[in-house]
Amino acid sequence: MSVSNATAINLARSEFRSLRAFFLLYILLSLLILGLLAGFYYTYEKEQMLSGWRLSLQQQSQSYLAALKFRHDHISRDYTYPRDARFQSAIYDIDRKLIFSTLNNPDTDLDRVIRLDKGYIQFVLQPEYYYLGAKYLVLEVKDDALWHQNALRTITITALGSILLLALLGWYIAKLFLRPMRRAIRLLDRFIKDTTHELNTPVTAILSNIETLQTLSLDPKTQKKINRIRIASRTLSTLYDDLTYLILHHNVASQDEKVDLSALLWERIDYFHLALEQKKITVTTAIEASVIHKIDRRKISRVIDNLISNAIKYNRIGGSIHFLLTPELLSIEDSGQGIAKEDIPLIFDRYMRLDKVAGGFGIGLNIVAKIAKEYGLTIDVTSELEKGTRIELKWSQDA
Amino acid sequence: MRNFFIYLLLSVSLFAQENFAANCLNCHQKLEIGFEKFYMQYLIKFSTKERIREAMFYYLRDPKAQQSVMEDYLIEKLGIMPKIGISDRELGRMIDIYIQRYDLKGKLR
Repeated sequence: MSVSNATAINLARSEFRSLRAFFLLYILLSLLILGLLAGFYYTYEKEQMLSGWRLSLQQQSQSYLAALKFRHDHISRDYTYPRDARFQSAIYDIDRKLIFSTLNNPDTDLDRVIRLDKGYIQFVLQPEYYYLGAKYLVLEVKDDALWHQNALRTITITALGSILLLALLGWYIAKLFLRPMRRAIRLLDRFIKDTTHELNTPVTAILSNIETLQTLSLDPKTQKKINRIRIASRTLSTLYDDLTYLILHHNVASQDEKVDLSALLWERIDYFHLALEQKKITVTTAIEASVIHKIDRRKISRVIDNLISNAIKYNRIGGSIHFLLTPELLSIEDSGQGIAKEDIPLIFDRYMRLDKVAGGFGIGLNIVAKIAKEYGLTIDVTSELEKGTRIELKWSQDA
Repeated sequence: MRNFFIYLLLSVSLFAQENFAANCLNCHQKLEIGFEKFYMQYLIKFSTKERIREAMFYYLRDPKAQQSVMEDYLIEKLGIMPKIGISDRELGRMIDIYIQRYDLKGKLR
């Protein structure tokens, strides 16, 4: 039987929340930075492409300006606007009114020397002379979008690589982030293990002696004292069983058998009768006879013991506990202090103690949740502050 | 009545065209440079017909070599035109006819 895995760390919900918040922030920041870099790179590539076209169109415009000049000087012979196979063009007067155009994209911006719009690159230049009245000459070529495809390919490959790298980095940072927390939990686990081991002999001795002690011959005062010791020893026994389960049993294969839950529940109520009497708690029951389920007896005992123990521990003096058992449901309802709505999801976390006064290790309900999960049982918690708590354990229909 | 107005407009137009011929074409047709060449000289300098009209009006009221748009060698060769003895209103009308005749708008294809 190996106990090394018993100390395996289960990250509690709050720690997962911290981790999730960290990852969310990390991913958002990483994506933001990657997005910005991708944007810069895309803009740079676009500018590079436009810069190349600017140079090329500037050169090509020289011969076109000569054609415009020729047409200006010989307009009386021919009113044909000069055209060039390499590009489309348009001319605008000094008041920016269109004189003539062969452009595919009529939306021009005369204030921008070169730009890409609707798939066309437009280059604007201002000739020295107003040939045909043209203050502005616009040359237009179609964008082949090759630069766009190349830029997107580079961005995609780089982004995928970066995401992978950032994910690895995030994982490493998260491990660093969790290291102190994991160390603390490991220390706590080791402490509990050592404590449990040391408790074994004294707990066994106390239990065996106190249970065999004949109290009838004693005077009432001494009987009362003995009963108090018995209650304390049984509480100690429950705690010891929980700790032992935590360290050893939950990693051991279940020994399922047909368990009469009705009888077991009565037995466990009886086991706690001294504690119930001490707090003057009224017990009401609606326990159906012969409710049988196939389950590990020790594990379901741990579940029942923990639920009863909590119902007593967090109850008020003179309160009540109602037990309900049907083939589908085990319900234990107390009239205790209740649990705040926002705390309900946390009560099954390991080492979670909402009431710091009542004491305990905060492992009881964690054990209940683990066993319930193992057997596919549903746990419903209904609670109202200052009124009480009802915990329902439901068996699925096919169980 | 309608016929009267049409007749009136045609008469005014015809009269203006006759004045344009008398005041402008008679002299310019004798020159070896086409009348259109002057317009293109204005166009290359002023770009729009509104600006051309303004510049032309300013020049024709009192022609001076400094304000001419023609190249120096042509001024030297042909000299500066004499002042036209017509009213500003009439001058404006003559310029409008001139611009309308030689403006490129709608002619480029």
